[in-house]
Amino acid sequence: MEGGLIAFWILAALIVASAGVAVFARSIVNAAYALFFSLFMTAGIYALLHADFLAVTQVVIYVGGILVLLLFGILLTNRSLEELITSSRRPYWVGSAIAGGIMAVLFGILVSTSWPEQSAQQLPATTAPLGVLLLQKYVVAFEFSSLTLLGALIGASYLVRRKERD
Amino acid sequence: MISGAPVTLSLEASVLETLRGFYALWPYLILVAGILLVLVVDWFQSSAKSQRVSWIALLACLGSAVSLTKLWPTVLDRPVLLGWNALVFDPFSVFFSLFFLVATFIVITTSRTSKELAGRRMGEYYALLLTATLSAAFLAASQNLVLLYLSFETLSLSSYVLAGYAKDRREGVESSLKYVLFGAVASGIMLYGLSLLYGMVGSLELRDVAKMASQPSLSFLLVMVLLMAGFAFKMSAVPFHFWAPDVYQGAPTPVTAYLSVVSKAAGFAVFLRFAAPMLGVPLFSQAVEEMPKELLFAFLSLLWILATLTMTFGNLVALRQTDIKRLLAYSSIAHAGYMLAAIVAHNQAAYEAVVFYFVAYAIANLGLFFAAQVIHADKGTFDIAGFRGLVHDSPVLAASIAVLLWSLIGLPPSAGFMGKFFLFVALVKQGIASSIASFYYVLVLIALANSVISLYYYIGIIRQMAFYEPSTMLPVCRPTFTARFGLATAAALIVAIQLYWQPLTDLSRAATGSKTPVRAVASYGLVNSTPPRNLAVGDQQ
Repeated sequence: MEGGLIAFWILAALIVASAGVAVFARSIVNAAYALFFSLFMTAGIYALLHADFLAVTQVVIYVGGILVLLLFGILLTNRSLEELITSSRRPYWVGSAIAGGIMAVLFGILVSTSWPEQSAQQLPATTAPLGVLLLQKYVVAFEFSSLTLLGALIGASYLVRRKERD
Repeated sequence: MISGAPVTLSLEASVLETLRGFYALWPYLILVAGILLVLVVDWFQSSAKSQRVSWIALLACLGSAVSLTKLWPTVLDRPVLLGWNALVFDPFSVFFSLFFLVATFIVITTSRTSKELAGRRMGEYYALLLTATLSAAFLAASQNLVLLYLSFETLSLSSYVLAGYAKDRREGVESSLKYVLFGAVASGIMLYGLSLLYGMVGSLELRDVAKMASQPSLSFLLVMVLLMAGFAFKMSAVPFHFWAPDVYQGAPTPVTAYLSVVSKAAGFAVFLRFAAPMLGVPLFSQAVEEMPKELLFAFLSLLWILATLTMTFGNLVALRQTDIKRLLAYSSIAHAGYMLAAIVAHNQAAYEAVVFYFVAYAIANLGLFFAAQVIHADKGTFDIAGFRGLVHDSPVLAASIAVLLWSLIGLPPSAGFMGKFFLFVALVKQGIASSIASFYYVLVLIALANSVISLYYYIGIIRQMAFYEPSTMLPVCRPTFTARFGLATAAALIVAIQLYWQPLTDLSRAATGSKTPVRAVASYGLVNSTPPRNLAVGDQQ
C-alpha cells in the first residue's frame, strides 16, 4: 500500500472513533473534545486530497472558531463543571436503525454512481485559483455574501439588544 | 480540486466580463441602497418616529419596480445573463422580482399600521424585509448552485429575525426559534444534496444539473429527495411544513403575510427553474434534457405523493382551527399542494398555471392577513370569534373578506377559480397526451375533493361573519377608511380577474417563455373575452 492510502485509513479510523466518542460520551465536555479530534482529522483528509485551502479553512473555522465557541458556550451556561450536562440514555436501536438505513443508501449510491474522476498525481496549490474564481466566476455570489453577513449582523444586533434604543 | 480551472483572461477582459449586462442589476442596486439608507436614517430618528423610515423602504420598492418594468421589454426580447452567468434575467425571474416587490410594498404599507409592531425601532425591520426581498429575487434568478444556496440562506436568515421581531412576546420568540431549527435542518439536508449533486455532475451550473439524469435512479432520487427538503421548507409543503402553523401564528401579522406570499413564491420559483430541464419544460435558455422514462416517472411520483399529502393534510387540519392565522397557515399549506399537483403535469401549461395561481393566491392571502390584522387591532384577538357578526360592524370589510375567502375556495366568480381551473387544465391536458392518463386524472380528483373539504372551513368564517350576532364581549371593529379601501380593492381585483383574465394569462404566458399570443384585432369590445380562446391557457406546447 502506498503512503497516502495508509494515512487515509488511519485518519478515517480516527475520525470514526472520535465521532463515536462524541455521540456516546456521557459528558458534553468530553463530546466536544471528541468532536475537536474528529474535525481536525477531517482537515487531514482534505490535505491528503490536495485541497490545501479547504484544510486550512477547516482548521480555522471549525476547530478554531466553532468548537471554541461551543466550549465557551458550555462553560458559560454551566454553573460548575460538576453538574455536567449529560445526554440522556435513550434506546439506541431506533437511532442505529435510521443511521444504518441512511448508510446503506449512501453506500449503494457510492457504488452505483459514476463519479467524475481526476488523477491525483500532480495537483497545483488551490488557494490562488480559488481567489481568482471568487473574483471571476463567483463574483456575484462573493458580493452577495456581504449582504448575507449584513443581514445576519442586523438581525443579531437587533435580537440581543436588551432595550429599545432611543 | 476545483472543477474548471479559472479562466485565464487579461485583466481588462476579465473586468469587462464582470460588467457585462450590468445594467440589469440596477433594480437590485436600488434595493441595496434602500437597505443601507433605511439603517442609516433610522439612527437619526427617535423611537416614536422610527416608523418614518418605511417611506424610504416604500420608495426603494417603487424605484426598483419601476426600473424592472423598464427592463421587461429588453428581457422579453432576449434574456440577460450577467456576472459570469451567475444570474439570468429572463421574463421568469423579472416577473417574480416584480411580484416580490409588489407584495413587499403591500406588506410595508400594512406594517405601518400594525399594532403588533407599534413602538418598536423599525429600521432593522425594513432593512431585513428588503434584504429578504432581494434574496428572493436572486433566488429566482440564480444560475449556479452557490448563489442559489446563498440567496436561499439569506432569505431564511432575514425571515427568522422578522418572525421574532416582537421579541418581548413569548409566542413570537418561540416561533422564531422553531423556524430557525427547522430551517437549519432543511437547509442542511439540501446542502448535502447539493454537494452530492456537485459530485455527480462535476459542475455548479444550473444548466448542467439535468445531466444528473444520466445517473442510476437511486442516486438521482436521493439527490432529488434531499433537495426537495429545502424547496419544500420554503414552499411549506409536507413533510417540511411543521414550522408553518406556529410561525404564522407567532410572527407579527405583516411578516406572516410576507412569509405566506413572498417566501413561498420564492420557493416555488427556484424549484420551477431548477426542475424545468428535467421536467422537459424549456424555460427560456435552459436546455431540456431527455430524461429516461422511468426516472422521470420516479420524479413525478415523488411530486405526486408530496402534492397529495400536502393538500390533504393542510385541508384536514385546517378544519379544526380556531385561530385565523393558524387556519390560514394550514390553508396555505394546502395551496402549496395544489400548485405542486400542477407541476406534476410537467408541461408549459402547468408552469403558466402556477404563475397565474400565485397572483390570485397572493391577492387573497395578503388581503386576509391584513383583515386579520385590522380585526385584531380593534378586538384584540385572532380567534375566529372575532369575525362573528362582522357584517354588522363593517359591511365593506365583511364583504371583502368573503370575496377573498371565496377565491381561496376556488369558486366562480373569482381569480382563485380561474387559477384552479388552469391548474386542472394543465393536468388533464397531460393526461390526454399520456399513456398513463389515470396518474394525472386521479390527482385532479384528489385536488377537487380537497377543494370541497376546504369549502367547509372557509365558508365557516363567512357564516360567522354574516349569520351571527357580534359577540358582546368584544369591542366593535371600526376599520379606517384606508383599510376598507385596501381590502375592497383586493376584492375588486379578485372579481376583475375573473371577468377579464386575458392580461394575466398573457403575463403568465410571457413569464414562462411560451410565445406571446397573437392578439385578435378587437373589432368590437367583446373579442377579448371570447371564452374558447381564453380558456385554453396552455394551448401551445
